Amino acid sequence: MDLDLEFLWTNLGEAVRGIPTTLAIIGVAMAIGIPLAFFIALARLNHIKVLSPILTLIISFLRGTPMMVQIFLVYNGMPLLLKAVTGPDFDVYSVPPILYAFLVFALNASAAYSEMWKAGLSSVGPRQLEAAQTVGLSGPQAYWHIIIPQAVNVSLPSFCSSTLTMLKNTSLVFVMTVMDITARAKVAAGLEYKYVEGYLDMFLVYLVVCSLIELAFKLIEKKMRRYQTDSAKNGKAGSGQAGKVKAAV
Amino acid sequence: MKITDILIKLIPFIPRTLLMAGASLGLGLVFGSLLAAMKLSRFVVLKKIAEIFTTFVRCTPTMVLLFLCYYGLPLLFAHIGIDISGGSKTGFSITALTIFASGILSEIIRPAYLSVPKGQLEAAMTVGLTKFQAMTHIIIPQTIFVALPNIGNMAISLVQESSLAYLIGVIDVMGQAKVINSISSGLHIIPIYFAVSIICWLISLAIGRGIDVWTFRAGKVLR
Repeated sequence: MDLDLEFLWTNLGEAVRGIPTTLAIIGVAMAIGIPLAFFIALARLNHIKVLSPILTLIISFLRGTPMMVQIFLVYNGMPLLLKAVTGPDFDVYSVPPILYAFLVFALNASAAYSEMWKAGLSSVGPRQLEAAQTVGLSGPQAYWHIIIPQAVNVSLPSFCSSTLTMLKNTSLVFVMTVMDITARAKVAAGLEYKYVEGYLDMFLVYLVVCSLIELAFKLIEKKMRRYQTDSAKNGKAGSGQAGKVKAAV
Repeated sequence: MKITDILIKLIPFIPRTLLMAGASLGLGLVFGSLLAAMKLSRFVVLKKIAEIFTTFVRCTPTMVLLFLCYYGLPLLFAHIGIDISGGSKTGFSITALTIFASGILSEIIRPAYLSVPKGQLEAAMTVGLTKFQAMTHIIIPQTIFVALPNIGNMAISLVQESSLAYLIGVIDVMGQAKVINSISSGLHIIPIYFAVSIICWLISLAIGRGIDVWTFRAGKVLR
């Protein structure tokens, strides 16, 4: 097939070296995005006066624009912003571009996850919160021990597919000169003009990483199943079907 | 350069973006339904092939798929003797986006089809419709109704993923933005990409609103 199988094998090692960077980006995005999304979802569900419409607008922007455009805006705009904030002596070239990647993906993750939290929290229902407060738990305690486990159980499949989408989007950070899987495989393949082998290597590495993340989520799902209650199972009929369909995606 | 000037320069290229997204959605629905039918069939071989294909496509970044199509398909066809390396770049990107869309759409159509109660088919056949008539008049409309919100999300995703086509040289909204950027030597890069983001945002809002209205109307007829 005119494929250089030996190059395919050696380039695979080069591509695998990019996995830590990719996982770092996803890790930071999830670490910042999941708590931030929780509070965004709370603000939107409780219709807080000024905050809720602004947040809805920002989330609609983050989800409605292509990832590539967001990356370009942050990569080109943040240095200007930093320079304006810190004054003329700051060397913007000393900022490692991976920080910009963290910023873009944390923002995008909070937008995507806030939708999951909204669906999960609204499926639990206000009665659980009232019951918990009747028993004497404070607000944060009620959320942590009662509501969040049930919400997570409902929205875990969509979490998984959102995370996988984010993993696929991290392939775009090569435009910011961040050396992730895509960038490393591309550069190494470009040196010898063997592009098809390079992209096949990328394909294989992403396949393996995706499958591992899917497996991790399935294990977490099994562990969280003990929090499944009837109120979460018998949510609105529409949300049940939508949940199934979203889980399939 | 003001944003309005940039918007005026970008608007003529919106049809190409919509063409790519629309064509891949249409073809993706066809192939996605085919994949869903394969997954629901009795033959284990078809099921396995469809499942493996879906897993492959769902785990690949769109950019990788795009480049594999652009560089790999001519190689593949060259072995059979057909030379498609001169094919239009828009065609290649539509091919890649169709593969992407069919993988995800098959996983949308399959649960939607399963959610229509089996009794509907039996009742239709009792009344005297043939299986084909029952499918086209009763089952498939309900399937489409259930799947419509997610198909809408897919359409919005396709518009965003089609912005990657500039990497192989397609001159759509994103490609033209790159051209304007290089003409103006990178001075106005922020307004240019801001304009692109506004265009894509408006398209996404319009599609979302359209799907909402369509779901509402279809719901009234079917209930």
